Amino acid sequence: MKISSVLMLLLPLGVPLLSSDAWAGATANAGTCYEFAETGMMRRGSNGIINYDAVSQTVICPIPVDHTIPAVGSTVTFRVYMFDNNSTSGANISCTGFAYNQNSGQVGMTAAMTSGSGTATFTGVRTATATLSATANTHTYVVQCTIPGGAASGINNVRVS
Amino acid sequence: MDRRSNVWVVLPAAVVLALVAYAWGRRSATSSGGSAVVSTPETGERLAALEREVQGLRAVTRRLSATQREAAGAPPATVAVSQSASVARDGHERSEEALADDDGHEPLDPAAEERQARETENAFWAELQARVDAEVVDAAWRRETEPVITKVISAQLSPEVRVDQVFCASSLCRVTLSHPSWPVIPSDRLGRFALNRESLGSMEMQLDGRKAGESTLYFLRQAPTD
Repeated sequence: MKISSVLMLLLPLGVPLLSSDAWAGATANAGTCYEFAETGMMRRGSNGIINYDAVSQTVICPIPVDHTIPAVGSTVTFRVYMFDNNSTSGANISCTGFAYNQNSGQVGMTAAMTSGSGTATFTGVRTATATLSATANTHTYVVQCTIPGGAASGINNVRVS
Repeated sequence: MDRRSNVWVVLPAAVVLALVAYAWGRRSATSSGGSAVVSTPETGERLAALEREVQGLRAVTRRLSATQREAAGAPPATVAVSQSASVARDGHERSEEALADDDGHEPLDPAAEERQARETENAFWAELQARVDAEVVDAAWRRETEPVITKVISAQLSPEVRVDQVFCASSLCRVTLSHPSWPVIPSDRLGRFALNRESLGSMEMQLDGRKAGESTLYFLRQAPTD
């Protein structure tokens, strides 16, 4: 069999694989997150964002995704890698994942992804799912988080799949 | 086997293999997406999406065939292979281009697509509504949850949002809200509410905002997946 025939066989197989890769999700470095209200106290590094303010601040982290849109009623999974070394009572990270359609309509919200409660500290992954109430040619995905102050807490990355 | 025979054997094989691989990938991706709260998505919507994908794959195969014919001295192909691959990858819009250009199939009517999407969405909300009404009430959970919902929503979304009714069954709660000064609840307020919902944070939320000035918020009782 000639090389061109082999390529012809393999390339169509590659299409669903590429499609599957896109479906598998996307991760955004939390350094791309922006503040809900600009304070200038959030510091961004090559591996995320830290709240240097004395009080908690809210950040919004868009996750660029180009993929086949899941059907109505299916779920998408959000994942946040966070670190919270602030042991002050009530000072915890809390994140929610949002899905929007191309007309800005909200089509899904997750349960809270938190670093704990009370004086808890935590470093690691939290995940939660959102069920999609509508579908469209384009969806956008965002994670919104409250990060306690004290320069000890932040987010490394966010993901949707 | 000569080159011409190769084409007729390999082309159908490629199409079949691509479809099998696609179906496998789609199924495995869906199954890894966590447990669906609503387990029966609209069949029609899924079939339409699948059909678009299949047509896109067929277009790719046809273009690859044209490329091979070109290599064999036939008239030049009009589309590069790399462009063809991106057609199917990008999903609906460009797959429809492929349909219109190459398949001889009419692309789906955008108005019909919009109508179908709307019907699917309506069915989703109807199912959720029916679920609340059909469930046996967990009285203890209801007593515990309904006051929290009223309190948190009032604290985070008033005075623009009024809580008209709260009803918790056993696996979900339905909250009817009115906000005459806002057609929809602004995303910044919704975000603030989402991040400050206290014990309600253990539940996923669904917001039905199809009517201007009114919303129905559902809380789905479930533990985080981690």
